[in-house]
Amino acid sequence: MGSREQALRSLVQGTAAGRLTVEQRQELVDHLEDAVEAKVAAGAGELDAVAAAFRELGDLKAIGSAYPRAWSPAALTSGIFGYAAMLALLFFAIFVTPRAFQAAHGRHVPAVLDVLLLVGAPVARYWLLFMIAPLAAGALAWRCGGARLQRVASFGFSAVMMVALVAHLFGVSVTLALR
Amino acid sequence: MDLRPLVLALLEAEPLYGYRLVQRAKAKGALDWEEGTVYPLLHGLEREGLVKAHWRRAETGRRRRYYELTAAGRRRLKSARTEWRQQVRTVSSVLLGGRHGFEGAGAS
Repeated sequence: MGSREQALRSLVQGTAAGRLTVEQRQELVDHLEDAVEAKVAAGAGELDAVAAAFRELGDLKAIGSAYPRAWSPAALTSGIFGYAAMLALLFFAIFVTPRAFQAAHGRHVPAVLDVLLLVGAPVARYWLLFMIAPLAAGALAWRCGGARLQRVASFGFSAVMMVALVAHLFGVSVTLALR
Repeated sequence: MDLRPLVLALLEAEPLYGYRLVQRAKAKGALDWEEGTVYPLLHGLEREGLVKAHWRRAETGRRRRYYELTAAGRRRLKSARTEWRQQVRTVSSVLLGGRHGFEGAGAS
């Protein structure tokens, strides 16, 4: 990375608003770099070129606050549903599934039910990790990722958790019904 | 003034990155905007699915974030043009009283 780019990056980082993602800040730095390069090529001194490039770019704080909200409502809603599904799975895995296992004890149950009952086992065992990891991943996607990554991560997490919850509930219900 | 249709129109011919897009806008001569305002605008358009963005090497050899119109963006541009022609016709008809030669502006 050139020293000019580094200087521009520091200036943007210092001014532009902490709410910008890495990608958004990089785009502003790229713009400034292109502008400075064009001005220097046209004969301006480097410091003058940097000053003019910043002036023409506009008020960085205002630009920072004009960006759309970092999370789209759809991705945020999906993430919340996914997290709720995960909490529900955790609840069932800790408080209901043991009863299903008791009910199945000594009885012949189809292997698929065993698998469905075990879906919640990792969540129950590593519950703290499951509680924190999605929040950390969400924060990372918000900070570093683009809109597409956020959507894919949020919808993917939500879909996996919903399917896991439904499968687990199905397994628990059928096992208890076989009692 | 809503600048989004202008940005869509500038992206119609080819994908552009922010700086190039601003240069194209300036070359058209009519736009006096702070250059940085284009980025929140582009990100908003991306969020609406009207443009899509990807990083690739520019002619300078550096990686730049290029924006290109999606099918939805092209449809939105088309409807923005239709609305604009309608507005021009309406305003001209009121302001100039029909002696302006804009009557057929929407026909093209």
